[in-house]
Amino acid sequence: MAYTPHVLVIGGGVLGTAIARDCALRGLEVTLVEQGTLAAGTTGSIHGLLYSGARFVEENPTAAMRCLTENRTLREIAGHCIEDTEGVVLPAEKGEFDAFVDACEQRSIPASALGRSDLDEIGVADGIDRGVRVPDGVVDPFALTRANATSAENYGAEIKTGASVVELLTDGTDIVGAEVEFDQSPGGVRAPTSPSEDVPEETREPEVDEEEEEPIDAEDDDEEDTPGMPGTVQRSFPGATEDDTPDTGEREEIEADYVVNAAGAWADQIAGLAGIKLPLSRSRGRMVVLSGELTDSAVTRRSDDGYPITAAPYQGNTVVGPIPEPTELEEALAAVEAVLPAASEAAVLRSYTGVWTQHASSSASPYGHDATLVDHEKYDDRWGLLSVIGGSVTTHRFVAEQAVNRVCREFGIGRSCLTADLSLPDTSIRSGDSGPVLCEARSVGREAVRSAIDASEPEPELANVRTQTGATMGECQGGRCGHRIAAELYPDHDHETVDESLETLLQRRWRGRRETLADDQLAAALDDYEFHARLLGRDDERQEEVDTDSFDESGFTIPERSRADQRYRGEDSVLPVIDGVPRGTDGRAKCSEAVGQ
Amino acid sequence: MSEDVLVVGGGIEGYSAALSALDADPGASVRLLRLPADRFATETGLLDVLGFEPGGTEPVANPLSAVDRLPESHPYSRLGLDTVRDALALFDDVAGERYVGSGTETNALFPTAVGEVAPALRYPRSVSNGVVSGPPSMRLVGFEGFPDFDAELAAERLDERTPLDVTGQMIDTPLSADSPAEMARLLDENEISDGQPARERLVDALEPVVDVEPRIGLPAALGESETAAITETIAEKLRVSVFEVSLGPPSLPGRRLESLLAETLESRGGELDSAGRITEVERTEGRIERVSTGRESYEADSYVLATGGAESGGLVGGPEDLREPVFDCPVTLPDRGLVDERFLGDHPAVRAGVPTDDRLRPVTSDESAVAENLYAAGRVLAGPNVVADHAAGGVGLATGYEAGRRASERS
Repeated sequence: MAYTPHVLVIGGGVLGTAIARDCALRGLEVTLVEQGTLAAGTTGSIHGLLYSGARFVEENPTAAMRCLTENRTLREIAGHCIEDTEGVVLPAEKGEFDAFVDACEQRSIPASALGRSDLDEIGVADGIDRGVRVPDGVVDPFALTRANATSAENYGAEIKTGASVVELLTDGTDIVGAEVEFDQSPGGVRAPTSPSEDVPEETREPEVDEEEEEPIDAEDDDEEDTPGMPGTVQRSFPGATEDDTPDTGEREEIEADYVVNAAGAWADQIAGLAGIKLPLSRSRGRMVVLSGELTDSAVTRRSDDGYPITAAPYQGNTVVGPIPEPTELEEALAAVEAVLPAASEAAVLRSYTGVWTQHASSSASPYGHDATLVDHEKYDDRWGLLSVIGGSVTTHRFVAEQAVNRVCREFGIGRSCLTADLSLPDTSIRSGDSGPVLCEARSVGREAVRSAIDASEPEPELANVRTQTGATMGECQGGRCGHRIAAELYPDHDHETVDESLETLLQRRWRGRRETLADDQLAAALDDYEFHARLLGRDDERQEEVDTDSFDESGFTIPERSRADQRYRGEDSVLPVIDGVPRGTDGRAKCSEAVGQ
Repeated sequence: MSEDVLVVGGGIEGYSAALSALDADPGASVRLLRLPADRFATETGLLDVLGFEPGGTEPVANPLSAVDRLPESHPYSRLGLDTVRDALALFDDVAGERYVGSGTETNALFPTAVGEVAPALRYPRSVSNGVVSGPPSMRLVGFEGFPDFDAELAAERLDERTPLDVTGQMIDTPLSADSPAEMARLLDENEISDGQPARERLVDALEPVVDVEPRIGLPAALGESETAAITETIAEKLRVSVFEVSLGPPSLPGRRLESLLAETLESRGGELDSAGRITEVERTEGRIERVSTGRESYEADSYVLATGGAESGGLVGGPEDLREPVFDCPVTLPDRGLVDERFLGDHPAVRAGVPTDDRLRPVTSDESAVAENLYAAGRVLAGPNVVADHAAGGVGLATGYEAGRRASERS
């Protein structure tokens, strides 16, 4: 190839990183920019389910088959990100059961009927007599995104996190790159901005590809806080000036031959920077994390409104959801308890909300069934920009392949996609180091924490520690281990960065935790507060410097024959006298200075 | 069995109530039920009486003279300064040589494990050399295996926060102890390994890091019962002053305070039981007649509710309401949820609690006593945010003192 096109991918979710990887594997020059951290948006707020497609084989066989294929592909290329939990679907009635099993068989989705004794083992309540085992799994979306990103980098891609797109560069009509602003706030990357809610009606119908996605369910992460949710911190629009906007950081213009907009819930804002209207629809569902693994399979029972709530094991806890708005938490938990009685004993650790974005024109069902490729040359007469909307963690690789096929076509490149054939690197950090355990709930040691911090340099990001090691995800939600983890930033970073990072970490965990506090969890949370406020003496609203003048200092006593005795003598036993010069509370002289005299 | 006074709950307010009842009437029969909750695990061992005025940003030097600036509803305002002073005098009497600050009304400031500053009016001898208000420079020494105390980071912070010169150094964990509690045990027993007693091995490990600073701060792991002897050995051998920095939980200085209070209570004739939760309460005509854990039942002339706040299970419930589970006393809640938006915010659940009359008897909404022989003390009371104000020790001590006195008067 005489000329290598440079592709700029906007968005560091599982889809954006997969697009970057695919481009890199096909020999394109590629840069990816992400405003926050990798997997910090919808990707990180999913349920964690790797779909087999069985759940919606009757309603949407195309999507089901796509999921099945991709499920198998991901198990081959990214086995380290997947736990083979299998899934259990509990049809409500005999007729439904029969139809479900038939549909699976017809599409060759392996489905085996479960009897009461199997259901006992899984922990399903008495009175539910039939179930179907299907080849679902649980996927770690952070590990998967990181693996995509690492693979992309290995093939030459450049990945820039903490880089918000503030401008799309144009030569009048064509899109020729973007200007990004790097986050300069210490201790981490600026929180992502909020996607806009008011999207004007789009008159033109974009092409809708029939690529299917499926209910993105989710794992947790509240770091990312889901875009624009009520109750979450409202962020500023990219490039907007607001009082609370962090100090303007360094900017860079990135020239590109083609731009792929994979910004998820923020995709309309990116398009808006070029004056392009990209109408999106968003649906939301709440996830609740319960303590302990209530079951070893992902268990789904269809509820009356047609959107099944799933309880899936995830890293030692159980994620329940998505609970469609406006269902009350109690109601949803009661529904889960009716299926898994052990849920009544479990504590609610935290909750978060997932957002699924679709193109407004797609006939998308909620939770991200469809993916849409919008070529803005075709619809807006603006060459050089492709928006990829929708997609799920299960089918992201396929969606990326379709997008990159489109990009290659623009440049007459005929190389085939390799992403399904090459394994993804394992970037997870395993515990088991020799240092002390910092997060007891997750058995995460010091070395694992340090590796995760190193991986996030030069902008130290404690969110990375959480996603790479699982630290702070136990019952304490960082209350008992956060200060230890933040301390690992030192001495590479100063104590102010440590303080700010700790504050950010605890505040993020607190947002997920505070909503659901009751009983033992309330007691534990208040105990953690007391630990910080009283035992550690932390209070970010207090004065930095303490005026110690009028406080009692009689507690200090010099032991007899102390080496200090020769230097610390005089009328007042606590006032040092150095070379005959008393150094007292008024002079503020520091001892070391005095000693040097 | 029947007592004059039964104290339910073993936090500082419970011990204070029991000791106060015995102080008022040395012949009284007083029993304290220590409930399962570990109330001293996050105690620093410091007696914080008033470290900050509510909302204040600077530590308070003279907590008692700040009392007249507190709201009328504050326990100190309601009890009056004399009672607070009497309660402190009782503490001084109990703590004896093991605590420092006896008689003073001026706070001292101590370094915390992260290098912040904590005010206290009374403090254990093992931490007293750490006063940050005195000028001699200090060196903090942390152990790699104890991740709660990064001495170098704490030193940098403290150096900036205070006029002191503070340096820090991390060393390999002496004695290969895997926790502060384990180190404390090895030092208490002075266990011999490779022919060398534990205390000598600790001194050898510290020797190279003692520098020009006349005092060194170590993680609070210097024994649970033999702290004085251990500290003295280090001080003598290395010729420096030694102090501990509280870690936790479990916090050893907190544990030592609990032992001190428990031993004193028993030596003064009080009874101490480790009990399960109270599950049954028998009442007649406005009196508590008997309480039971299901296995054991207790009868007393008067009762002191000292089960702690929502952090200890003294108040339970959520996410909307809290209740008091033992005697079902009404609970007042500040008006906005249980917890603040900020982790370090002013959590209503900390202020929530049982309202009382001036004699510390829990009252119903019409201001009548829940039971004529029931008193309440400490964190279970509605009141200020004693955590943020660094006043939990003093409020526990003073309300316990008053509740114990009232309870013993009745009997």
